[in-house]
Order: sequence, then C-alpha cells, then structure tokens
Amino acid sequence: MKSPGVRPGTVRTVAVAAVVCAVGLLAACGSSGGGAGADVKQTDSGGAITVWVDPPRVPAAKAFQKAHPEIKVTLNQIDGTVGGKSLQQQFAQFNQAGKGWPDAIFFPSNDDIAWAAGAQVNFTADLTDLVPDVIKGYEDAVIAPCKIDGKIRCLRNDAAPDIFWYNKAFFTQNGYQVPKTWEEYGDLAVRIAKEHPGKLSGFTGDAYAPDRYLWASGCPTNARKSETEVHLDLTDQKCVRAKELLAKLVQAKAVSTVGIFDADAAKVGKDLVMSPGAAWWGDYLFRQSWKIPAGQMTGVAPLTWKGEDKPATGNEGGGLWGFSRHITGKQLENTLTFAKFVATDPKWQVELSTGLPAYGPVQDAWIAKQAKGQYFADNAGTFAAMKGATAYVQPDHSYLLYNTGSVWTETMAAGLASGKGVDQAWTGFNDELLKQAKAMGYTVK
Amino acid sequence: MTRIESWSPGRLARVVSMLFVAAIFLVPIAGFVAMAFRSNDGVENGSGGFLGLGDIAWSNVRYSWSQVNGFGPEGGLFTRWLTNSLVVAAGGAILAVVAALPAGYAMARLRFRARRAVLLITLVTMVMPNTVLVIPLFLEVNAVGAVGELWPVALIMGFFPFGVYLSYIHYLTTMPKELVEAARLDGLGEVSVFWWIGLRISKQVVVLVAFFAFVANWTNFFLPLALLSSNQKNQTVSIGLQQLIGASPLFNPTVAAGLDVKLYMPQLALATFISMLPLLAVFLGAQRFLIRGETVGAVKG
Amino acid sequence: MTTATVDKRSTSVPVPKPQRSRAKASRSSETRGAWILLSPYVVLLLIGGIVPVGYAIKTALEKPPTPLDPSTGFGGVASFKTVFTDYRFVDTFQNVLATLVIWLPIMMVGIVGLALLIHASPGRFGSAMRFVYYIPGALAGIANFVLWVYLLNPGQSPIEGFWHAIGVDTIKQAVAAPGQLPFILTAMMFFQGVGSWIVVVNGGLNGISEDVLEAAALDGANAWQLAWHVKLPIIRPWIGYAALMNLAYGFQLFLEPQLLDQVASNALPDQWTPTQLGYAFAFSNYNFPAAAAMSLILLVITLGIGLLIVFRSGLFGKEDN
Repeated sequence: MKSPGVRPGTVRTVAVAAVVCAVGLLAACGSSGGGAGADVKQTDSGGAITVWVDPPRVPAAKAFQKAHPEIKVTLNQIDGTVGGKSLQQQFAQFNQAGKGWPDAIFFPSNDDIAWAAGAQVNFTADLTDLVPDVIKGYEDAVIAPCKIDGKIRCLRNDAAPDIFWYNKAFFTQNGYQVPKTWEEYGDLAVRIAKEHPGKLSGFTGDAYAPDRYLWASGCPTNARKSETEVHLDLTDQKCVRAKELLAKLVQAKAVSTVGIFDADAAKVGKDLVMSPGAAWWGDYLFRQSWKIPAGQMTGVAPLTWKGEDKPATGNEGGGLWGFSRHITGKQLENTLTFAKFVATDPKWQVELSTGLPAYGPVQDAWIAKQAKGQYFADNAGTFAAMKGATAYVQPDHSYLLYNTGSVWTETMAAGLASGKGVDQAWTGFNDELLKQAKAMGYTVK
Repeated sequence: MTRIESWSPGRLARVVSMLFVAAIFLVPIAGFVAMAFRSNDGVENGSGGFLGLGDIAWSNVRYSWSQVNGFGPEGGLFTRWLTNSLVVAAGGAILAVVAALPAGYAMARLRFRARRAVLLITLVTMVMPNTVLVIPLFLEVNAVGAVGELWPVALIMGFFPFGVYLSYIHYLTTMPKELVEAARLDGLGEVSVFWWIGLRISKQVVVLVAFFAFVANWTNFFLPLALLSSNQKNQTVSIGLQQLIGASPLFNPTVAAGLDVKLYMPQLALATFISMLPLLAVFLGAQRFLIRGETVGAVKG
Repeated sequence: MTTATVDKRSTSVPVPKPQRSRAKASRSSETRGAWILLSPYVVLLLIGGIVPVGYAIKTALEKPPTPLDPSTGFGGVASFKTVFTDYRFVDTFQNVLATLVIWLPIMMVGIVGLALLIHASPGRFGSAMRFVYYIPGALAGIANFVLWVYLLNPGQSPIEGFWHAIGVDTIKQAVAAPGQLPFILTAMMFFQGVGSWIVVVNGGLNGISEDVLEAAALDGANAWQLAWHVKLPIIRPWIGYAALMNLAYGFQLFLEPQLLDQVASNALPDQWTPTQLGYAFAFSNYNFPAAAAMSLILLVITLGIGLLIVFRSGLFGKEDN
C-alpha cells in the first residue's frame, strides 16, 4: 500500500506536457486558417459516388441506382428545409478540412447555388464542357439561374415558370373576362372582391410572392453584376408598378396575406379565383393540397405589362443539381452519368418527377403523362401555357447570398399580415434587403 | 406549525393554487404523451375527447414508429441517432466521472498553491452557460480536422465542472481530514489515499456526476449542431429531432410531399417520447442517490 | 450552505498540530499528489475551456478572407468593429433584453412563490407538488421545444380555445406576430426551468432552523407574515443566485428562436439572438474572426455575471478563507 514512486519532477512534467499540448493545438489551428477549397487536388474514388438529396429527390437517386446497378452509390438524405443554414455550414467545414464533399447534390433552396458556386465555397463544377449535350437541351431562360459569370455551374431539375391561373367555372358563371395584362388583373381583382367578397385573386404571404410579382415585373432585387456587386433599386419604375399593383390588391382585400404553404391556405385556397402562379401550383396546390375539384382551374399564358408587347413572368423554385469540382477520373465519369440521368432521363423526369422538366426534350413526354389526369378545365391549353411560359421569365435575376424570399416573409408578409399598408411594409422590405446585401459583402449599385 | 390544521381559508387558497399550477404543468405533458399514442386522423378530426385520450391505441404507436424509423434514404436513421447520442452522452459521462473524482478530492482535501485558482475557474465555468464557448470549440476541433467525428464531442462533454464541484462537496462532507491524516501516517502517498480510501466512499458521487453529466450531454443541442452537422451518420438525437420537424408536412409541405414517411404530430411526439426514455431510465436508476444528495445536486438545478 | 455545515463537523475533532518541518515535507508531496489527481481534469479543462478561448482570441484578431481579398493575416480589432457595426448587433441584444425584462420577473416570482408554498405545505402533499413542478424540467432542450410546438400549433393544441380567442389560427401567427416572441420564449423557458429552481430555493428554505420559525409563530405571525418577513430575507442569497444564473442563461438563447423560425415558415428574423448572430457570422458569412469576436463579447458578459455569482452567493465557500 505504498504510493508508486512519484518523483518530484512528475508534476512539472505533467504541467509542461499539458501546456505543450495546448500550444501544439494552437499551432495546428494557425496552419489551417485559410480555408478555401480552391487549391485542393482532385481525387478519384475509383468509381463510387456520394449523392446528397432532399427527401423529395430520394426517388431520383433510387431510380438511378436501379438503372445503373454497376455504379456504387452512397445515398444521403439531407435536411430539405428551404432557407436552412446547415448545408452551407457543412460545406464551410468541408473546405476547411479539404475533404468530405458529396459528388452530386440537390440544393434544397435555389439560393444555395450562390454560395456553392461563390468564390469562398466554390464547390460546383463548371459543366460547360463536361456535359455540353445536356446543356444544349435547356432553353436559355431555363438554365439562366445556373449561368454564373458565363459558366454553367448547375443543372436545372424542373422549370417553374409562373403562368396565369384562373377558375374557369367561376369566370363563366359570372361572365368575367380573363385578363390579358397585369393592369386588367388588378382591376378585375378589385371588382371581384367587391362583387364576391371572400373570393381571392392572389397570395402575398410566402417566400415566392416576390417572385410572382416583383420578378415578373423585372424589378431589380437580385440583379447580380459580379461576385461582389449587385444592382438593387426598389425605386425603379418596374418595382413601383408592381408595388402599386400590390397596393391596389391589398387595399381592396382581393389577396390573402397568408402564404401558399401555410396550413391556412388550404382553407382559403378554395376561394382562389385567379392568380399568377407557378406551373406546379396546378397539381401540387390545387389538386393535392387544396383539393379543388377537377374541371375548374385552368392556366393560360402569363400576363403582359401595359405598353409592353410580350408577357412577363417570374419563376417559383425549380430545383438545381450541383456536382463536385473536386473529383476526377472514374468518380467524375460516374458523377456525370448521374448528372445526365437526373437531368434528362425519362425514368426520373417523366415517370417520377412532379415538376415540369427543365430539360426541353422530355417535356412533351411529361405533359402527355400528366395530361392523362384530365384535371384542368382546359387541359391542353394549360400544359401549352406551362411549356410556353419558360421563355417569358424575366432576365437579370440571379440567386444571391441574401434570400429575397425570406426578407419578404419577415418584412412585407409579416407587415401586411399585421395590417400595415403596402407602403409602410415596402420601406421595411427595402431597408432589410439593403442591409442584408451589405452584410453579405455586396456593394449595392 | 401544528400537525392538525383546520381548513382555514388561507390553507384552502394555498392548496388550490398549488394544485392549479400542478395542473398547468401536467396537462400539456399528459396531452403530449397521449399524442404519441394517437393517430393523425384522430388528431385532425379532434376525436378522442379530453387531450385525445380516447384516441390512444397501440397500433398507432406501431405505425408511428414505422414512420419515424423509416426516415432516411434506407430508413433506420432514428435508431442510428439514438446510438450516437448514447455513445457521446455515456462517453462524456464516463470521462466526467474519471476526471471529476480525483480533481474534487484534491481540491477538497489537499493543500496546494493553485487550489483556490482551480476552484474559482471550476465555479465560474460551472455557472456560465456552456453555449457561449461553442463557436470557439468549433474552431478548435476544426483546427485538428475532427469536425463531424463523435469523439471530440464526447471529449468536450467530459469537461464537466459541475461534476468536479459535486465531488469536491462530496469529499468535504464524507471524508474527514483526520482520515486522510491517519492514512498518511500509515505511509500512504497522496494518490494512494485517494485510490484506496477516497474511491471506497465514492459510490454516491459517481452516480450523481454520471447522472447529471449524462442528462446534460443527452440534451445538448448547440455543440452537436456545430460539430456534427457535416456528418449525416454521426448526428445525435437532439439534432435528429430538428430534422424530423423540418420534414414534417405541418411545417414544410414541399419537402414532406416527396417523403415516403409522413411525420405529423403523433409521430413527432412519439420520436420525442422515445428520445426521453433513456433519461427516464437513468433517472430511475439514480433516483435513490438523487434524493439523498438532493441539497448538493440542487445547487446547479 | 451545505459546505458550511460540513466544515463545522469535519473540524470539530481536534487534530494534533504536526511539526513545522513535517508540514513542509507533506506540503510538497501534497502538491505533487494534487496535480497528479487533477491532471485528467486539467487536460479536459484545457481542451474544453482554456484552449478554445485562447484560440478564439487569436482568431478574432485575424483578418477574414473575402471574395475580393482572399488573404488572411493579422487584422487587429477589425473583426470587433465588424461585429459592433453589424446592423443586427444592437437588435439581438435588445431582443434578449426584451425577453429578460418579461421573463426574469415572472421566473423569480414563480420560483420564490412556489417554493414558499411548498415550504408551507409539509408532508406528502408538499413533496408531491415539488415533484410535479420538477417534471417539465426533465423535458429539456429539444424535447421541450417539440412539446411547445404541440401547444403553439392551434390545429391540435390542447389550448386551441385560447388561441382562437386571441385570433390566432396558425402556428405562424402565434409565433411571428410582432412583439410576441419574448412572451412565447418566456413561457417556454419558465415551463422548462422553474421546477429545478424551486428545488434549489426550497433547499434553502429547508435550511432555516425550526427555532426561528417557531419563535416567529409564537410572536403571532401568520403564514403570510412568516413567509414575507422571516423566510424571504433568509433565502435572499438563493434568490440572487437564481436571478443571476437565469440572467446569464438569457444571453445564450439559441435553440428556441432558431427552431421557432423553422416551424413558422421563416417568418422570424434569422438572427434574433446574439448566439444566432455569431453562428451566422461563422457559417453564412464564413467570417470566423467575427464569429470568434462575437463569442468573446458574450463570454465577457457571462463571465462577469459568473464572477458575480461566485463571489456574491457564497459558492466560493467560507471555509476557504
């Protein structure tokens, strides 16, 4: 029971060891302070690929596994929360570590492409010369969100142009004329609100609302000039006309202040008689979520602004696929096989995907399959409008490091919901956009 | 302070208000636990009467479990999260005990110059909210390239100053100075005194430290969020529950639309309920020690 | 309190004074033994406390790489300037203060009131109630959050009637209405935290000697006077301790506002509390120096509160002096 021979020096040794340990840690920290994934050497796994998808895109990856059993795929399901921050955090960590990236990823929010292709994370590969044939299959306006500084940095999964939706049964019954211009839409909305209180001509409460109205008007909220410069001017005439339209709609109580995804929307959704809205509204919102009977809703080409000769519209979502630029050899080859599959293969795009394919050549097959549902009042016309609308999506709208949609929900949507006027809420929207743009490091022009 | 009291108005008011507060605390919890045993149809129709108690059925639990554990590309993510939580919470607790016992003993019964300084640091870090340090901890773990691994989380959780304080108090109260002196006179070295005598009487404090450390580790949210987010396989159940919420059609219809499992309130409640079971288990295991050590344990709260 | 009583007991047996030289020898061997015994803890303390703080200081003084200027290096106090001039910085502290102003008084009144009520109820009933009040505290962190999602979502909430009465139909309205968040956070944190603090303060009340209470009762004090004039002054240190601990807790709010935003379709500001802002600096802006600076600011605040607790509450035991 004697204490093991502890020499007097032991204590000091322990203390010194601890200090050395701490210092070593600090030194190690110092060496990896840089953290750009830019200079990392490309690696080859020998063929196995890792794919990250949000829950709705899991079937795409599974269809790929079935079609290509020869390729070993590790499938990871990521948090699909739109506006979630965890994904961005993970990529920051991968860059610090110099490893860990997936080979292919579906971005839960379209805004993710801004950081994924940005100078700091710089994850997505330039696909321009890797899959030129696939890129040729996209209409320019559809692939535009992926075209960053002249390079194609992602592939579009589905197109989500806004068309103009209306309830044909209601219009026929009451003898209303389908509006052709945004101004007519405003006037008719006011009239309907007066003649049929409770009937709705739009929603302002969700993150896609600025896409429906401001993007459609060509309002510069997201006009990227370069990596660090953005043109952001809500006093632009194109913004003002959209704001005036909104003010008119809100004043007349012609629009609901809830968002299309809110639980409440299902209750009031049945009262929607017309609205600009994405192609996917038809199946996803009207049929599945709001359960509006078949044969009522129908879609036509987007509206035109007075004095312009072509329709102008926005775009709500339409997901993006990104692929790693840190790989080479067989791993890259298999990743590109995956890229081609999810972007173009009918086994996913036609058979399983619910959105209008972004890739032009498979659109007709998808339409033929969807049209069998005979849900819309004018089935053929609705699908023709969807396909045609992709060309009318307004240019000069990039996804950026600040999220215009979430600024909208925090300021405009919240303001309108609490009874503020459009003007007052608009000021808050403007201020917050400018602040966020600056906080993210943009120079606002 | 007489034993037999009449039902005076004051006493009545006291009992009634205490029961009222108790009801405010218990009713939501009862409703929430009941929710874990209900079906979503029942919840939507509002059937089941008071707190939906009439809607409870075992078949609902089996269905909900299939949904909760079906989450993930191949399913089974939830069990994986539970395993990870178990590993880091238990690993951290073991480390905490191993470090806290000798440290507490040294501070309670040995005299050395830095004693007050170490005690002060321990007390200050004990009362400070631990999330303050998470970003610096992330930077540290990142610097050694171990982000996304479980072991740094367990290691950091092993730093548990409250455990050191508990064992400090324990040795102050249970190990008289005379005993230490006597052992020294028998020729025992300082380490041996701790090893042969200190450890003998440490069952109580081992249980207390392990219990409090395990509970704190199991419910820790920010540390795993910052350190483990980048590794899907290595997340803990507290982070996992957040993902389940994010995939619920109640809050995120677009995401949930493509999901093959449907996570409504009963499923979320069941997942939460299951995630609490290990805490319940350690509580029951440690219960008799907790009651004895109540005043000591109460300091941290 | 515990330590004081213990000390009395352990020193009650007279110990023969060892001789001076012997004391010196034992001193050095004691020191040696102490450090050996402390070593595992010291290593963990370094890893979990000292090194990260040191590294945070170093990081905070660096210059962050930006798209325009990807270089790094010494940046002085620039990152602190970035933090202080960020448009969200003042807001986040205002938010925390707004929450504390509502939460702290309610919390303290709740803790003290319920602890006094329990103390006035001896026997089974009192301890049963104490146990009941403690139960919500067991639902910590994310579990408490899911429970509150259940309560806040008018669709299936047991307090559906209450929500409809104040004109709230969705969880988004319940959470995102202007100025509502501090109240909701108050409710969440009160529910989760009050039970364990009742146990703490109750422990303090149990430490009051029977003689004092009986003497007061003989003087004709009723239960109310007893609580107000006798018990309350005695447990004042405990109340101060609880208040300061809860104050410090307020500055680290993260989980609740972060996840409430998620269930309210992103209708809340993304950076509502200082901790969220630090998180955003790190993982949205990749500005680790600013994130480290933010952490240090919070560290200084909570450290100040922590020192106040340690020196004012008697935690730093009397037997040490």
